Amino acid sequence: MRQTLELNYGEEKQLSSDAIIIGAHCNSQERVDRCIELITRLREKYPEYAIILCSHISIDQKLFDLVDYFVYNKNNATINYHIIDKRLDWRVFAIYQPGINQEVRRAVQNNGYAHYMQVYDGLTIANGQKMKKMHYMSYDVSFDVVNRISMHRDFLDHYEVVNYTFREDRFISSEFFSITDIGSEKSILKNLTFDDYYNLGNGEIGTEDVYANIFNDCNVKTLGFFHNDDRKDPWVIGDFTAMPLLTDQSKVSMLPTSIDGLIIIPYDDPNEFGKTILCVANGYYYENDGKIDKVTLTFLDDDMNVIDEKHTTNLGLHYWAQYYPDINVKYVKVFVDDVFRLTFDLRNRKNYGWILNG
Amino acid sequence: MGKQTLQYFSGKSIEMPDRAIIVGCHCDTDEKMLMTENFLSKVRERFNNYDVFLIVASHLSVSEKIQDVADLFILNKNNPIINLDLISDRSKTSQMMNELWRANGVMERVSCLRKNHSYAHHLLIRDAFNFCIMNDINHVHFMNYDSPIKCLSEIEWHVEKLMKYDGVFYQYHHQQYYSTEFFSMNSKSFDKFLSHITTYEQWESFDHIDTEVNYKEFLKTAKIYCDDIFDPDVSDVIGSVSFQSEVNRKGEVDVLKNIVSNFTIIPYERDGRIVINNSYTGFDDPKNEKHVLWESYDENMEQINHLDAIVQKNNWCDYICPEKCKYIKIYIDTELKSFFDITDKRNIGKIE
Repeated sequence: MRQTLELNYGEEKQLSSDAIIIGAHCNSQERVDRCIELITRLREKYPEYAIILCSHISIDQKLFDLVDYFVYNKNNATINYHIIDKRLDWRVFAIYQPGINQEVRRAVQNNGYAHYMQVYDGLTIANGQKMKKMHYMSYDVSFDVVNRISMHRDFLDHYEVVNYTFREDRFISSEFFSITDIGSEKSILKNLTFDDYYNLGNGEIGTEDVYANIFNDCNVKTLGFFHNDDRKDPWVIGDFTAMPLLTDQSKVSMLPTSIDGLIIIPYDDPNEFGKTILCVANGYYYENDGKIDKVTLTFLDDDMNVIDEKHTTNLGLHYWAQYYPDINVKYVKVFVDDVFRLTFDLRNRKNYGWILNG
Repeated sequence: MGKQTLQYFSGKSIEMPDRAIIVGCHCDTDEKMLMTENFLSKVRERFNNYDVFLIVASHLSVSEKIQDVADLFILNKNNPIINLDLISDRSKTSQMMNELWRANGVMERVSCLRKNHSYAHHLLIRDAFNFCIMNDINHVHFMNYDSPIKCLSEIEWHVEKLMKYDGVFYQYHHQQYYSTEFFSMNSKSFDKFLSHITTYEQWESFDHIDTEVNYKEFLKTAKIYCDDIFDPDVSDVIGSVSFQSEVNRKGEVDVLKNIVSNFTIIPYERDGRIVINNSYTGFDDPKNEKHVLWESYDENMEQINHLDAIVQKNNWCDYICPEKCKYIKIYIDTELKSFFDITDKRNIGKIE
């Protein structure tokens, strides 16, 4: 008994009992295009399925046109940014600076809980519409997913959850899985708060840790790694690296701990009160194999006027550089290999790290 | 069950608030988009997001501004209109009619099925309430985007009433029904009394199709505090926009909604020709006469002819569509109000 789409006397067409839920974070045209391509392929293969798109950022008309449901939930609560707690801040990115005998640290942000909320929102819509079988995927999953859905659907006749392992048997992928209405009520829809999420991970905050435990009361079919060939990391289903914070090239963004491997940590100058030092380093990034040719930082005042600009070239893996912005600098624009990535607020304390001497 | 965590600082958690305002909108014109943006800004000025969770629900896409002002936006593309997408034996009994006294003293009746968005309106309300139920948000206020700002001060006493009642409504139509443009309910009460109404068959199970009548029926065992008419000096209608024909934002051909700027417009067929009857029926319209302009186009959107007339209140006129006519545009007082396909059978009524 789902909502009616059309009725012509006795002939009724209701909303499908199958839903495809897509968790999206389309903050660049490349990501929008990828999401559109995925939905287009899904529509072709499963024209009757209802498509529910969930996002923490707004979407444009093209995406609106493709979906049946869209849920935009502005709550993108990021661990170590919006959610700050002693249980969490021991996970740090550290830039070791042996020459000056210090280490600069910043707590690693994690979007696990926000990602989980997206799934919760999608299942809220689907269960509210009395749908029976739901297939969740991130917007950047391999297109191989499209052909797996019918197999998942068949498995859901006998199981409540169909999922894949991630890296090791004790981790479960959160990028693509299928679940029944009953399965979702016994698992995800029972756990909503951050504390619920944290406890499910037994103190770990990755979605793969949480998903390894959340389905304990369900009848689960786990299919091993998603990819069966001899590729590197066959457990990886999605293509884009998660950038947990809400970055937006057209606005002032929060500062993620890593921008595709580039670590940026502002911290208080210990020798001069009120001044900030900006430390950058090349961490490792899978997609570029740790290669960063050029970093450009443009320093701006309150009115977005340029005060200064600094460059670093050939920043080797784990190498670092440090800058001493003028006290009037309010915003910093970051370019990596001449590509503009984001603008952040240098005075926002949530972007700051700290130093560990010795 | 707890709520979504918004922020957390050293053991202290800020969760979603226990109150939500749902704004239902239908921005098919730029004017309505602007109206919604303005209304939401007023809500946000008055209530911050730690006190009241702001949900926008819609069957149509909305501007980025609307998405960004809201805490949550829910789009449900399914917007089935009764007697257009949904036709049943019951719905067919709901008709619109113009009585035409011809110059020869003969009275004729032209009629068409009355299109009604009540079920779609319920689906929109239900989507947003469902989110509140699943997120343990207890007190929920629903209002349409065209509601007066006064609603925002009313909800304070609604909350007090919600401690004792399932819902707070205003009277509608001679105290018989509940207005569904603005009301408040506890989410658990909505879950109990209204959430299970999902299909259209359930919607007309009491042999009614209008939202105000149906909500009164569905809530008859609920404990409802029903206040007087919202604004006794005006009318029992709370919002400023009524369900009528507008040319959509994209300027595309649409189905004729038979109320066009307080005209009741019913195309009918006579002697193989299509005639459009235009009756100026708006009883509370301050204008005593209006200018109407019809433009007809062929299938290639080449204009065939145009004709205009001044129509007095409580009077009518017919426009006879030319041969090979496919599309019609109707302007009322020089404003384009309707753009439809006259060969689409769904737009054609009958004459008796």
